[in-house]
Amino acid sequence: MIKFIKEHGTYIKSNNTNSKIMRDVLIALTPIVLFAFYKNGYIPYTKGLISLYGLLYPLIMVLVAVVSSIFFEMSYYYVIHKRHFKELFKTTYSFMPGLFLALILPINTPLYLVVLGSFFAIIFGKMLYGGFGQNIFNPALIGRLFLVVSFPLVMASSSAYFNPFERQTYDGITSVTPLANTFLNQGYTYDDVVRPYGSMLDFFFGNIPGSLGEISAFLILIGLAYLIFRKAVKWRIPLMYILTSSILLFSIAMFKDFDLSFVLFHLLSGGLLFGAAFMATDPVTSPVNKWGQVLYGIFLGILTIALRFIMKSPESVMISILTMNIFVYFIDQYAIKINFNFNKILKPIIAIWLLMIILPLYITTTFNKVESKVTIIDKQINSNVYVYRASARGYVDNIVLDIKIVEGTIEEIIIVEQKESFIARIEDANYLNQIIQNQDNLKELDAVSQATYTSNAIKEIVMYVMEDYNNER
Amino acid sequence: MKKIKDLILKENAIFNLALGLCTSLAMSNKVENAIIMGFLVFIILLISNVIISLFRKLIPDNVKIPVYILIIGTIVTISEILVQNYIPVFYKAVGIYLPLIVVNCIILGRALSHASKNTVFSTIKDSFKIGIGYIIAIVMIALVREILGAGTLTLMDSTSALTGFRMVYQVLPKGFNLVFFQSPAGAFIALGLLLAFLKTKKEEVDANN
Repeated sequence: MIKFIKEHGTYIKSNNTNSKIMRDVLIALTPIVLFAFYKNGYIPYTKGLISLYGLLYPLIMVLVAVVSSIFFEMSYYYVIHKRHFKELFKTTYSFMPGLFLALILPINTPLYLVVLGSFFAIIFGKMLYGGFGQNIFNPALIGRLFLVVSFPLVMASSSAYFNPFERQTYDGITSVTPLANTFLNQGYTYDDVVRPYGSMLDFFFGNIPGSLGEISAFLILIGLAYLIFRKAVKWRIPLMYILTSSILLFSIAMFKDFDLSFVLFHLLSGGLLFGAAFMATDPVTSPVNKWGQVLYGIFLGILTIALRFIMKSPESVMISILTMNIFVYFIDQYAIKINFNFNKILKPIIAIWLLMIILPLYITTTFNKVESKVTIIDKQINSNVYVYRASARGYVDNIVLDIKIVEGTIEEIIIVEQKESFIARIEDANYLNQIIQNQDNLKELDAVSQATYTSNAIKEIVMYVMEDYNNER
Repeated sequence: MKKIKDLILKENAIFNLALGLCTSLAMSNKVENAIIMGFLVFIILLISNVIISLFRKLIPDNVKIPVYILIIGTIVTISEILVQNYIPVFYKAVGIYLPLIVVNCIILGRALSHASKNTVFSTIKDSFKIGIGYIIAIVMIALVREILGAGTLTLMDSTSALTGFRMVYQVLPKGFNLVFFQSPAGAFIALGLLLAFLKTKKEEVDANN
């Protein structure tokens, strides 16, 4: 028999009950929800772009997610524990996963997908593990992961992230979010990556496309500061997470001679801050021990940067948090050993130093900017009729064009081979005819909106061929 | 009816012992593929276990496993060549997973635990039980995965070259399918759900007895 001996002074007293923590988290999240409503509902509404339903849509999304998650949890309890489901239900904070799920979804997610996502979050992410306090993975992230895997077209296209006002302002940008945009531009320049969306201040205050809650770094930091002040959050995790990733980003920037905006851009875009402040610090799925929290945060940072630059995945924050959730138990076990014998910290520190040195070195090698190279495959000369066949890399794969030049003017352009996803837009815009009409000043010809990479590749082929033709004559 | 119930609940290698999961998860994206795979595993299980049972007194105990693997590998290779030559439709559907039947734990498991100790007749009986149980299990997983994942029910699509007519039914309306269930992770979740469901059923049956 185990004997419990009660003595004085060995118990930690704290006023932080679950309900207090949850109330503080709710207070910290309120400005973020209101900002999402302001940016995605109020601004387009004042410009007269959407109806009243569109004005309220961000709030409706949050409401639907919360209500459906409460409903699913209640019905699970009702089905499994028929008798006292009400008592069980009282202490589980079932609105939390739904609220978080709504905040990490893009604005144009249809409502039935929100309901489906919260179904998966509650049932597969939470209840099947045993309910509140037993789940291994962050339920909201499970819901989002399921939606992204199942509905990639609805969840990850530009139509998902842009609200009607942004669709007007960012007309020339094909790509989804600022972060997804960087993966297309192999290198990093301020003009390529930040300028299309405004300035660094826009990134800081949240005037960029993105998921509902993740955009405004300013409000997230205020919320985090409030939570730290109220001692409602494990502050070591977000601190080490952000610190580690900024050190890594800084060393990449140093190696490649990028300016400081590179570091800021990668910290402020994507879900890094929101993930660090609210998802990684989820009380259930993060380590309890203080050294465990430090190690957890550091490894999260390393993993996020590695995924973001090596896998070129815009979902890197989500995947790294879910991956590290698996190791929480082992980290906790190890951190207890550190508490008793401080020398034990040497091994993880050596591993972290090695990773911190090797990772930026490796990432810098992947940054070689792929210059769009035009190659002339074939050239047929028939007195003064030249027919070129040339190819260049478009968005998906190589584009091959046949270009017929008669006495210095382009007569005909035929697309021989392409696998582009947005070729229909090129055809709609009659882009090939536009090139033929504007062949004297091709440099000023605008790209087709929503198909920038494809149309630029076509333009570059034509320009290269014309240069070659002029040299030959 | 009771025998089928026993086959699913009590004497099923996949659901009770979690053997042979690799092929049952990989080939269960379509009901048709699942039937083909189950059929091939059944045939190979039957032939190899009968041979092992015939030679059970000749094989020394300390080289049991290599010899069994050799026999199973031979049978699988022969059947691979035969299927590739005579039923190319099957080969196309099953692909790389046909040679992988060598490492299917059901076959080696039954060889070690049954065929190496029992007579040929009893081995044939056991092989039928296990093989049909495998077919039922893989088809059940495939039903869940295909109906939820693709919204269709494919009974004859690539094999329609043999039989002459197609049997593909649209079960869910288009656009209501969850592609997730067609992915490997979805296979695991579908299997897990089936296992949980069958476990509660089994407990109910046990409680009634």
